[in-house]
Amino acid sequence: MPEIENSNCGGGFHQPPIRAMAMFRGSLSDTELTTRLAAALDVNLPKKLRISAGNGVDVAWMSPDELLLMMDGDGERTLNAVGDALRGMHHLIADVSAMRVEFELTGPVRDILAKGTPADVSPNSFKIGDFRRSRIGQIQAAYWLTDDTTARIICRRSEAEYLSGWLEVAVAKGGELGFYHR
Amino acid sequence: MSTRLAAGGRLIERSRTVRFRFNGTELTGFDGDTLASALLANNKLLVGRSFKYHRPRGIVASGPEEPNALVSLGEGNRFEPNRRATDTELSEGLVAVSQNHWPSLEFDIGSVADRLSRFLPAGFYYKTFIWPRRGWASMYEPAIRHSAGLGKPPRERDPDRYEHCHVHVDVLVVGGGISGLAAADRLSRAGVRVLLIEQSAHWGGRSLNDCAEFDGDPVDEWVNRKVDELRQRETVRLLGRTTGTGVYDHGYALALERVSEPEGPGSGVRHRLWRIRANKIVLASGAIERPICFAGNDVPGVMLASAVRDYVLDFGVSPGDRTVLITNNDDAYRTAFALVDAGLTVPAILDVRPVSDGPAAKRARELGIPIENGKAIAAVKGRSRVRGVSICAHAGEGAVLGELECDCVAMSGGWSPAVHLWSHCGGRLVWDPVGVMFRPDGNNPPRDAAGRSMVWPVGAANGQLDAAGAMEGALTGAADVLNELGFNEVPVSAPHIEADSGCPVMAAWLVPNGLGHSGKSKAWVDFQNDVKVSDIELAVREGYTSPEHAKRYTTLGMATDQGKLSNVNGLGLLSRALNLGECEAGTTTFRPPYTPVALGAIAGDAKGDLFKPVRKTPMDGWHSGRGAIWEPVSDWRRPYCYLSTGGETVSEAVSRESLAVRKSAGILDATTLGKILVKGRDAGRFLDMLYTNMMSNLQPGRCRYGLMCNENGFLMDDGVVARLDADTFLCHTTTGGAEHVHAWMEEWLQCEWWNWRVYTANVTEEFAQIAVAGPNARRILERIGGMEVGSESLPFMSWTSGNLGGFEVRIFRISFSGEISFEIAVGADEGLALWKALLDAGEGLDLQPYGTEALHVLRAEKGYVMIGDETDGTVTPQDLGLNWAISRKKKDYLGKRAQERPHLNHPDRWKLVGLKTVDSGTELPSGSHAIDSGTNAHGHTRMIGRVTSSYFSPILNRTIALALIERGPERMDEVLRFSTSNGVVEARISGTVFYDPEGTQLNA
Repeated sequence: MPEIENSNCGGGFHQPPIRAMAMFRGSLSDTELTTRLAAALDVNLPKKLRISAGNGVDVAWMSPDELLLMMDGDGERTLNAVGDALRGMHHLIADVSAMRVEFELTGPVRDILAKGTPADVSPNSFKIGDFRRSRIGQIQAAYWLTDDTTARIICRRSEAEYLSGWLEVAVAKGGELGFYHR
Repeated sequence: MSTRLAAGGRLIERSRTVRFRFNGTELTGFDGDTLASALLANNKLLVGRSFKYHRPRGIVASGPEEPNALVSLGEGNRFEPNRRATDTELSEGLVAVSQNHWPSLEFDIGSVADRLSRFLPAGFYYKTFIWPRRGWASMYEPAIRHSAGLGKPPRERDPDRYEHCHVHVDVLVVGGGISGLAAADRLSRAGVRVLLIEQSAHWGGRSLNDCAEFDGDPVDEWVNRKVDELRQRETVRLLGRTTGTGVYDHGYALALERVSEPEGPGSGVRHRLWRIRANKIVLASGAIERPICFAGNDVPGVMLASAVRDYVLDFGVSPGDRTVLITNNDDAYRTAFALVDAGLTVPAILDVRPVSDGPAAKRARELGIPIENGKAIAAVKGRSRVRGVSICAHAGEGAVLGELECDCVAMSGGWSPAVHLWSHCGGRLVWDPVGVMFRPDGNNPPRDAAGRSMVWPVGAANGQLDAAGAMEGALTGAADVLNELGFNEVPVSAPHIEADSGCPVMAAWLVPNGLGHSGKSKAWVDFQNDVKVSDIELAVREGYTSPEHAKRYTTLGMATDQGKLSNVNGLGLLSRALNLGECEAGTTTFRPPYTPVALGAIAGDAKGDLFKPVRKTPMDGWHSGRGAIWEPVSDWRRPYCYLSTGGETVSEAVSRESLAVRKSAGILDATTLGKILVKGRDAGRFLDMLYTNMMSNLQPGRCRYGLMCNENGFLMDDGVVARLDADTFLCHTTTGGAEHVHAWMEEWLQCEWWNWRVYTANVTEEFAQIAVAGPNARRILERIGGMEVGSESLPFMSWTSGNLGGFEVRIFRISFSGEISFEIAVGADEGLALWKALLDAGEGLDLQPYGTEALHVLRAEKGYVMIGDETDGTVTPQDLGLNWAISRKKKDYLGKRAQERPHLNHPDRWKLVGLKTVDSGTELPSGSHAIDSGTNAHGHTRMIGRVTSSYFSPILNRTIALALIERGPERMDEVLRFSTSNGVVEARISGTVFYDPEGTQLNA
């Protein structure tokens, strides 16, 4: 899949090193569960529509009863740790490391995202640490900002080629928006 | 003659000449010209032929409301029809051709239609071409379509780049005139995030030509200052050349930005479609001048009064040496002043009002311009351009009182607020008898989800046609919006503007008031769709009295301009013909877009490779390199078959692949099958409800085929369920069913069984799944090694996990081919590697990749049903003879009660059987109907079933089919007749299992 370092309009994208991922389902309104989970992951669990970064693990809020864990290194250990911590509590955790593909987008990222996502990516409504599950172009995607000019995007593995093609067009010279980034 | 004046022209840069071509002739204009102003400067007044009667037509307006000056722009793959010359910016090398004429613009054979116009009134299509019945489609319509029409569609693929852009703002302000600027200023000062859009390339709107002074300074100074201030404000974005095209529910609005004008696109974006979510919308879209309906008002040289002065003031172009002005209001007098200031002649102002004695009339008299009160135009002389007008009393029937020579007529029937965007989402209009216009009804605005007003009309769009009133209205409107949004107001001072005081406008729908029929037949209401006053009266006579009916009968307002000039006149005339009060008949519905939007802009980036996302498996590239013919399966693409090199045909490939599975081994990419984890204490109970058979008693390590029905009892999906552990099941679904089944599970869990302890996870994409099937399948897996796959350790309908040659896999011993078969699931990132490893292991064992068609042949040979082939949403498991998969022990499952309805148990239901054509080589197309003797209640041939699947079976060397037949299983060995496109085919009913009914292959 193509990667573009800088399209001359300041935009670029690439695939960062692959991370282990896990889907967690459980009631996030159950404080005993969330306390145990946070301890096992060594991270503050994200609030609604947020992503929190911890020690080698990012945790994204997917729904009132779903989290996505993105882990550096060995994901299995984390999975086991969660399993042990929540033994006897109703939950589901599954290794989904191969299910999604992650992209890193750089440059005027709000403007580039705005070309494809109907969600509000204005600085007022979309801050660093906010996490959105929405669409980009014609596919489902989730994205968040790691700083003002860097965004991460995840999409289904089967649609990664589409997203890469879409990003290639979106960052191409001649499409500068200058809306959120002046 | 129209020509370029020696001086003047606010928008043009005379030092920069621009060359362009019109109908093959090389012409020049100036930087800043529109195509229309440059054509007028070159005395090209005639720019097209009318839609129906092919009458010569000239430029009427100076903006997007233009009905006549539609041209085709560009050549080859950049050809674009129906572009308005009036808002097309001139660019170097521009190529334009006029439309709707043959052989040439000046001499058009189609204009014979004009001579025959009395035989071609409104609705003539519907009356004249009725006989013979078949003639419409074969003769009349093609002939009419050939002669009546505007631009031709482009024939080549559009090479340009288009994109969409979603933005969220507090307030969208539509219109960059003084009202829009003032509103945006007040809003943004208070901290509101504002997007201000303006359709033209210039800010200030009509004020620059029509206003005197703001605070004693020229208007343009105020405009430039405001634009500069707004540009510097962080909370404001300004977009020029951006037309607000539609307002929709929830503050959603569309705007089209012509990014690349005027230079042309190059490699950049040509158009950008802004998809705006605004909390509130301020509509400052101005107003549009109305033409006047008098005989000959469509002759080239008759123009809107505002357009005439725009061409003089904006572009230094004189539309004519002698311009007669006809008006019912004071505003049009500005045109006379502009013309006289430019040194041109105004022989008379024909003012249909009995008296005009305001400041405008006073000034005209001072300038020596004759004002003829109570006078009107009886007729326009000239055919392809104005040569003069005959004058009559407005009150009478048009008896000629005198004649005036002129080469231009400037007309003004008053102004209509541009309420389109107000109306798109339900804003109502009220008739304002003083202003003689429909204006937004403040009591019935478009409302948002909370029932609050969503759109604020301000300025001329709200009927405030004078600058002072517009400014005041804009600032008040902005204050209201601030209040609504909960922002604190920041005080702003309004500029001082001299108030207009003048004579009120007078309604004049038909001029002269008593014009007779022949005059009405030459008095145009809708220039673009060739609708005359007489057509509206005909509609009324024939009973089409509602505006919506009259509109459709006459086609008034239904052209590409959507009746921007014609609608209100048409409604005025309709009310008049119905003897109602002024415009009492009501209005038609305004619909988006305000101006046409190119299809390319609507498509955005969805073209070429991005036209539609295609889901690809990890092995997609491998398939691609091996001659895969693709089949779309839901959003995925799957190999239909693989063509060998050497000219193999598709059917040969399918035979080869299916025989390999029967005789040696085949390998199939089954990644696309849905995989859903179901986990929790109540998972078994949950699956018992979802599937028709029992799942809760499945042992860990075992698999079971299950059927899923909807609440109506009809088969919805099928697949193999594997029990992973005490709490966890893995449900396989069909490829197309994965998302739906997952949503179905969540719906029941979230809405009905919210207290059951079950979580689901759609992990379809986590795994690549590979089926290895055939007599050699086990040997291949054994060659790779690492796992026990013998019959004892891995019997049919069981699964195991382990390390297969370095790959962490789950192996399911399940089969959809009737052969011994292993479905191997591996992490998707390792799918391709395992696929290749399996192929390597199959070396010398005739292992062949097979596609979906061979898969279908194999399953049909075994009588296995396929969701979507044997089912269509009206088929129950019982219809398919799958009673063995329906638990009798269970108290309930989804669909159970529905299946107990008498209709679903009726003995006459169509049930699944096999079919063998009597002639084993004859194909029985899928979908063919079985026909019985006799007829049904409707007198139709009686149908007693249909073919659901049909294939050539290479292993049996004959055609086989599955069919749903009335009382099918009771008719075993009966020969039925099937209707096909090649005549009747006979086939004998058989069992559904054609191959290896004992299952020896499967259990080997």
